[in-house]
Amino acid sequence: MVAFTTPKRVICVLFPNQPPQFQEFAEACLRLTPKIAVRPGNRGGGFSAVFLEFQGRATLSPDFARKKIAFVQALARRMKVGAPAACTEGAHAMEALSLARFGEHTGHASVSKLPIDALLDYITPFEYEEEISKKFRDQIPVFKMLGVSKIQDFVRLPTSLLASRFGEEVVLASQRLSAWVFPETLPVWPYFHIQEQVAEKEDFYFEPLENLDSLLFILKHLSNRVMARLRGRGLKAAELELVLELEGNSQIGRPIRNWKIQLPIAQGSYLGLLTVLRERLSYDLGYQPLEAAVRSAEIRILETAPGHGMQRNFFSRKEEEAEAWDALVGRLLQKLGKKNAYRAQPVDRHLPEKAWKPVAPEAPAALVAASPGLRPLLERPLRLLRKPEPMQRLGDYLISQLSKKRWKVSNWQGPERITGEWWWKNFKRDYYQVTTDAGEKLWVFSVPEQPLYQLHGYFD
Amino acid sequence: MQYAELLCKTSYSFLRGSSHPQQYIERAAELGISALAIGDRNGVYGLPKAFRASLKNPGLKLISGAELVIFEPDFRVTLLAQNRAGYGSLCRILSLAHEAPIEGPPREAEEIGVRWEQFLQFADSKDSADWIALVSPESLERGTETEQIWGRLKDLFQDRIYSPLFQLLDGMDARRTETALALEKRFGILSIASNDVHYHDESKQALHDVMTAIRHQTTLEEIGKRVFSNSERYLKSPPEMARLFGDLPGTLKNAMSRTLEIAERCTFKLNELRYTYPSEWIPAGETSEAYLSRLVKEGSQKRYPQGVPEAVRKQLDHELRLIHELNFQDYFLTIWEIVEFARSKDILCQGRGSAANSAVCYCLGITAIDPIKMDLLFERFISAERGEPPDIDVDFEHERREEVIQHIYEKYGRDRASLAATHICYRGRLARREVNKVFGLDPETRPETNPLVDQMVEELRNNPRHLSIHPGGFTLSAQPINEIVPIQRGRMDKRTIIQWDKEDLDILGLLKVDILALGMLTALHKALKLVGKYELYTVPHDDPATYAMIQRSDTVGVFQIESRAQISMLPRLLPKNFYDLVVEIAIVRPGPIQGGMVHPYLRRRRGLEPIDLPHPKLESILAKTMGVPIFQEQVMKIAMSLGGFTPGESDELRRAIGAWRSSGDIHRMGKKLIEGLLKSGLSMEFAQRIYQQIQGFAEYGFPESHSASFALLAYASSYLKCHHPAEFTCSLVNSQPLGFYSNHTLLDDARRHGVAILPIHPNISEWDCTIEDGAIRLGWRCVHGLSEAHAQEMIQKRNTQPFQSLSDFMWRAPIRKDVLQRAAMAGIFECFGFDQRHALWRVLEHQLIQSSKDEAQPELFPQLEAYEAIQQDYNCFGASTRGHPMQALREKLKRRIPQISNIEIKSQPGGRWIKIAGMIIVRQHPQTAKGTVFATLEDQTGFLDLILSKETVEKFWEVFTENAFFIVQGVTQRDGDAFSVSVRHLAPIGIEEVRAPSRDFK
Repeated sequence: MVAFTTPKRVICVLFPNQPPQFQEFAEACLRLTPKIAVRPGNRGGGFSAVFLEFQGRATLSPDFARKKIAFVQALARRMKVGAPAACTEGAHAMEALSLARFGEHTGHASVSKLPIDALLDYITPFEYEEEISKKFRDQIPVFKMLGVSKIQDFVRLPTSLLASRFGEEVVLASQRLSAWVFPETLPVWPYFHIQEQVAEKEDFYFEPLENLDSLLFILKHLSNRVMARLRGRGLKAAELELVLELEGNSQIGRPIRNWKIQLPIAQGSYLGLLTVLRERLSYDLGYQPLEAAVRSAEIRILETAPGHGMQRNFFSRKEEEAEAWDALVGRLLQKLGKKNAYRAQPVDRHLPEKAWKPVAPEAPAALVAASPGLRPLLERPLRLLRKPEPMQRLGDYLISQLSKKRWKVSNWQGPERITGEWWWKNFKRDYYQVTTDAGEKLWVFSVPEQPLYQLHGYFD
Repeated sequence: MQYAELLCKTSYSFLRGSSHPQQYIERAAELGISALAIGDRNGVYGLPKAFRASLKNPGLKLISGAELVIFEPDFRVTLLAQNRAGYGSLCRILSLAHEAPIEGPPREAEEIGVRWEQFLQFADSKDSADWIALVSPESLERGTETEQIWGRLKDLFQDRIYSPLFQLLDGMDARRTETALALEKRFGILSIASNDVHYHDESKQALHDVMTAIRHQTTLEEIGKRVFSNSERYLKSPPEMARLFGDLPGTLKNAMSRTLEIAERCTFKLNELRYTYPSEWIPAGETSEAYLSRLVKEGSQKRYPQGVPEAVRKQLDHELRLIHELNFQDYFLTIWEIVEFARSKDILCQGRGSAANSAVCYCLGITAIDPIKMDLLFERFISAERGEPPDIDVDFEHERREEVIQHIYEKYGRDRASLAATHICYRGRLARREVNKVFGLDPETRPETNPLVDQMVEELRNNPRHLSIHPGGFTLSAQPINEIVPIQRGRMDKRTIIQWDKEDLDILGLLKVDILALGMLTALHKALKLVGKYELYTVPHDDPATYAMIQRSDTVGVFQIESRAQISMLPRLLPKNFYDLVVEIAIVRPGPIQGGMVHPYLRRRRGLEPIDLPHPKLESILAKTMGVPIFQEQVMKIAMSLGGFTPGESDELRRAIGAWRSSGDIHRMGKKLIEGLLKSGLSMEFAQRIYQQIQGFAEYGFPESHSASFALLAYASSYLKCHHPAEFTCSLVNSQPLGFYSNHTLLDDARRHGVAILPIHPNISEWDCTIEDGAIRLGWRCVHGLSEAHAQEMIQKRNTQPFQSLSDFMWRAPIRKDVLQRAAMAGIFECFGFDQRHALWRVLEHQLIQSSKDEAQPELFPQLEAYEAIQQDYNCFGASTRGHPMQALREKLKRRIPQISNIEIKSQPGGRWIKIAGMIIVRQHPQTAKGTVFATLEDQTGFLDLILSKETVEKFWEVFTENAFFIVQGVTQRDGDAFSVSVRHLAPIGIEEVRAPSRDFK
């Protein structure tokens, strides 16, 4: 008996792997139809897909799918998601997916001509399942040995004989290939929903805020609540929007004031957030004061970054310290600019100027590798000159060739000979720790067959 | 001020030192260092080579030592042997360090060492009384135990423990000095000056860095501080060391002179190792000389039942006299005993190499060639002047060699019998790959892209990489071997190896017995058993049909003359008798080719040029090879009879020939030879031609005796192929892997000789292939993935009750799932009424639900096409009984591929443009060919030789190497009966290919 169902078509938009704006694209597709499903690519399978199901008599029109496909492709272009690998339509998600995956390459518009590999799409269309995929991959050569190389060969096999040879998944696929006979075998549609945005708002209609301090007081509470919610999701704030609604008045040019703030370093605590907001507002409102009192304030989180974890560890100060550090660094970056603040990370190399590298402040602190065997760390200057300064040695004096500054030397310790990296630069230097009469300690090196010494750093 | 360097790591610390032992010795002598201690990690691998170099530098004292790794706590101690007893106990503790559990995997390099308790046990006994111990504070990790360890070491070693002090200009020297003073104060442990040497010269630091990166499996970019911070760890001169150590405080000033005191106490020399051959099994009341003479006499009577000829008796007396003089009689008796054991167990064996020059070996039954009849040169084997031990290699059936090896272990004990090592060194391609990786390049990056990389590849070449087991070289000793050299477990099960290789044993005069494996002996034994008429040496000689077959190049499967190069030579050389075979085997080698001997020989054989013998004495030496020297012995004889060389000098010439690439001796000896030849009245042109020809030998020329030994086996296998092709092929398949060709080629060749091949049958086939009414019934051993244990279990069940049905088979036969599926698709179950696909369909059902009955199946699947069926056969057992894949392909593809066969093409004259299709089964790229590649194309009618020029190879490289079936276009070439095609164009046929293994570039 054939079950009567509402006519429908499913469009499959296939991407290689998972593009960055995959979620946004899926959200945008909700404008076309409420019935969206996604197959993420970040859990395996090598591709991702968005499914759009359309129902109703309109789907019976021959142009219907073509127009929808064109629209979806244009949407992908506009959103700069990247060109889909394929865009196909079918009676259901499995058919659309298998045509997208195999039909485009083989030029077939009918599932029956597709290779047997397409059977997997009838087993798990909406997600990648490692075990089932592996099992099926092992079965493909067996099918081919039997001469079953296409779907049309497969459907000729009696379903009743499949279970005892290939297992229940293949039987299910066989039944789904005849979905008009067995509609109950169709997989459940996993509806896609937009993820709720984290935002907190407070209204002060009865007591609008007149000054920055009172505003900041409110923002502190809003920040706290927003960060707590992010905390619960194991996230930090990376970008936010502050929206202030001013008291209504026809004379006000801008009743809504908003700021989109990209945090220089993602923050997990309200403190870090608040300092940034304070500085930003102080600066901006200094140039463009609010035209009226504030009657509502809202903080919306636009972008997040992975955080410490969903539960705070109350027995360890590490998180607090990390958050305080993030707040400090965030403030420095805000003030000095991203290019002017970095963290110095040790690099395992002998060449002194290459023995460290600047890394972004938010990068986790790298452990300094333990020295092999007994070797403790050697003493190194706190300040290393970007470019060594040539020095002339005259008796007990060292004279800079650039600044002409003179140091009277009271002690030479060394040499420490550092050579190597012949595969790149090849250097040979004899380093000395030079103590001066004035109590300074310099790091100076000489190079064979060169008359001058080079000042490389200061032991502050 | 003088000093001795007591801490040196050579390249035999395996990627921890970057200079060879001989480089150290030579450099130390140059610098005026008075003594040098070699202390490689956990071994004495490099000592013999250091010793040999030290003989040329008598002013330098070599001290034997090793660095031992200790675990828990972790540190390292260098132990120096003061005397013979100290050296023996050093070897024993090093053996202990390498001991791995008998069950379980061998230990990785980082796990080699002894535990602290084990070390204490040793050190607490008299075993350590003759050691000097050097422990660097840097090797001991800081911790509370450090004090206890120093204290304990001082208790154990008293005045024989020192702490090496380094001044390496790496910023740590001041700290080192403080620590040294503290050690002296606290424990009374004195310091000695050392430079912690890892290379002989500063310039080797770069190679050391590369080796460190290889060892850590990282790149130079990533190696960081794991390389030394400077290049100071080289062998420094006494004045340099004096500058570094001269200003040290307190008693540290004497750190240099203490090294001399230690050197004075270490008196052991490696040549003190007196080697005694095991001989406890000589019959009571007889000496080994008398016993050997008796055995030789008895053997000669068996070999010459008509009476021992006078020439033979004279030769035997001469050889026995020399053997006794050089004290080698026990060695010969040992070999004889091993061969007798093999014979008692019906294991075929035969001596090879220069031993076949010896009449004593022939009479003892070790070799099979009569050297008198063949006029072979005994001095090639042993000479009094050389004074070195002889080298007797014996081949055994490869499947039964293990029995011989276990016999040796049982008879002598594992402490007195051990396999020699092979020091695997970096060679061309491997060196390139490793250096490429270290530089962050693709391992396959071709050379000439980066001069720095190329330089490092050159430097890395010939440095030891790791130890491997010599295939069958045993060293035996009357006393425990681990008193002479440390023993360690090999990667193979039940194997122990010594740390020295063959060259090291020669340096120290230790004897070695080579127990080798030869697949053809196994095959011959099986074939002879199947035929049931002959033994190996009673196969009828000089059979005309056999030589006719050989001349036709119909030699697939035949020992030594089945390769592509041999097959192409046979119709040119046309062997008609045994000696022709001896020449054939020797001549197709790089030596004679490079020496320019091949073409003159062939031309003279064909009468195209006269045989040139410019001196009457050359008649007896060169007449049998048309006036062209082909064998090493001929060169030696020329040197002796015309060059004025003594037998020993002529052997030295032979060895110089073998080593000429790495030594200058060949030029000195060559000059002497030319002078001698000129004095004998020969022309300069002839003398220089001889010199040029012998240079071509290098290490690739064969001794005549060796070639003759192999010719015996070549003839026997040819005879069996000619007269008993079914038994011969059956035995070859049953003895795989061996030879040049895969099973499918051997079986197709047998089929072309009229032998029927019967498929695998569940109720008939055994593990091995068998003969069934003159046909070959394939055995279960051919099935991919089926183990012998499972097959034998199945056969046992079958023998109790034959399989009644496919279900019955599946229930009772313990066969892996994938093997069963392949077997089904290969039609093995046709006897139960299932074609391939329906058999698979049934198998699948059984595998999932273990159904017990073969119920009637609907016809669901079409029959396999002929080509598909052959494909599935190859997938299952690497061959097909249905026919050749090319035959099926021609039927399937019809006009899309050329239909002309190989046999038809071979009737074409030379110079014709042809187009042909076939399956490539061999690809070869000989070193002497200058980029030319040779290949063999096969179809159902036989083989065709293809020649691809360097340009063609480059043009079609990917196509050539990634496919099996081709359409070939090219030009025919004919030289008498020798035929080949010079390829101009190659295209794949473009069809899913059979799983047919080809022999590629081997």
